[in-house]
Amino acid sequence: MTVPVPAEGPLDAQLIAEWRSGDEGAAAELVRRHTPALARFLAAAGAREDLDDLVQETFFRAFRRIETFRGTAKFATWLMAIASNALKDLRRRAKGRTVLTLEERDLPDETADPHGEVVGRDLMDRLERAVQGLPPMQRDVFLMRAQQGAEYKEIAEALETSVGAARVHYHQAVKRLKATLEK
Amino acid sequence: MDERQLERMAQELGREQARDLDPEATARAVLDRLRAEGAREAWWQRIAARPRRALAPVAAAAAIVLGAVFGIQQLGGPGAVAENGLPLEVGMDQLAEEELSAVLDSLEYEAPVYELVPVALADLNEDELSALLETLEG
Repeated sequence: MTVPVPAEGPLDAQLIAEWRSGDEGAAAELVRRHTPALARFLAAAGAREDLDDLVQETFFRAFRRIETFRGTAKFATWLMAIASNALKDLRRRAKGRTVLTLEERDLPDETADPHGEVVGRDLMDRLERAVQGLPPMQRDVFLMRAQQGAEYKEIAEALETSVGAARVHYHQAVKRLKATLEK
Repeated sequence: MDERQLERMAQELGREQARDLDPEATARAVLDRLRAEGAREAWWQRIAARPRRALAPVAAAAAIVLGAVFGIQQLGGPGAVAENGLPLEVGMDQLAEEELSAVLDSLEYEAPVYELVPVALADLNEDELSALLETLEG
C-alpha cells in the first residue's frame, strides 16, 4: 500500500518551501498534483455537488496555514485531515437544508448492464453508503488507509491521535463495513 | 469478504466524481482566492500601520470636532439660550467685559446688555447708585 508519488518533478516538501517563499507556481503544482486523490477522498466521505468547492476550500485552508505543516505527515494525508474538517463545516452550515441521499440521486440506468456489473455497482453503492455512515474518525482513518494507502503513523499525525488509536479506528471500521456488506 | 477485497473496493470509491474535476481549473481558482485574500490582508495591514503616521493628525482633528460637538450639546445645543439671553450655564458674572461683548457680537445681539440683568438697588455701591440717578435724571 503506497501513496501515489509523482514520477517526476520536485518533491512536495520542495514545493511547499517554494510556496512559503511566495512562489505561486509551486502552489499551483501542489493543487494539480493532489486534486484527484483529494477529490476521491472527499467524494467517498460524502461530498456531492459541492465537491469542487470543497476541494478548493481544502487547498485554500492548507495554503493559508502552511506554516503549521510540520512535515511529520505527508502533505497528502494532511490535506485529507483538512478536507474532513471542511466537509464537517459545510454539513454544519447546511444543516436543515435538503440534502439528496444516495438513493435519491440520479444513478445510471442499471437495467442495461450485464448482471455482474449490476451486482458490482450495487456492492459499491452499499460500500459508499456504509463508509459515509461511519463515525467521522473511523471513516477518515479507513479512507486514508484503504483508499489512499497511508501508513498508521502519518494518519495518526494528520488526525492528531496515536498510532494505536488509528489502528483501532481502522479495524472497527473494517468490522462494521464487512458486517454491512455481508448482510 | 476479506480485508484486501474491501481495500480494493475502497480504492474505487469516488473515482467517478473525481474524474469530472479539472485540476488546472482548481489550481486557478485557488490561486485567485489566495491573491484576493492577500490583497485584503495587505489593505488591512496598511490601515493598521497608518495611525502611527498619517492618521495621527486626522485622529487629532476628529477628537477636536467631537469635543466641540459634545461641548455644544452640553450647553443645550446650538441656539439654545437661557431666559437672560445667554447660553445656558454661563452667567454674566463668569465673563469679563470683553468676553461678554465678543459673545454678544457673535450672536448679533444688539439689545442693551444691562436691561436683561436683574440688578437690585442693594447690589449697587454709592458711585454706581449716583451714576444711575444721573442717568434717570437725564
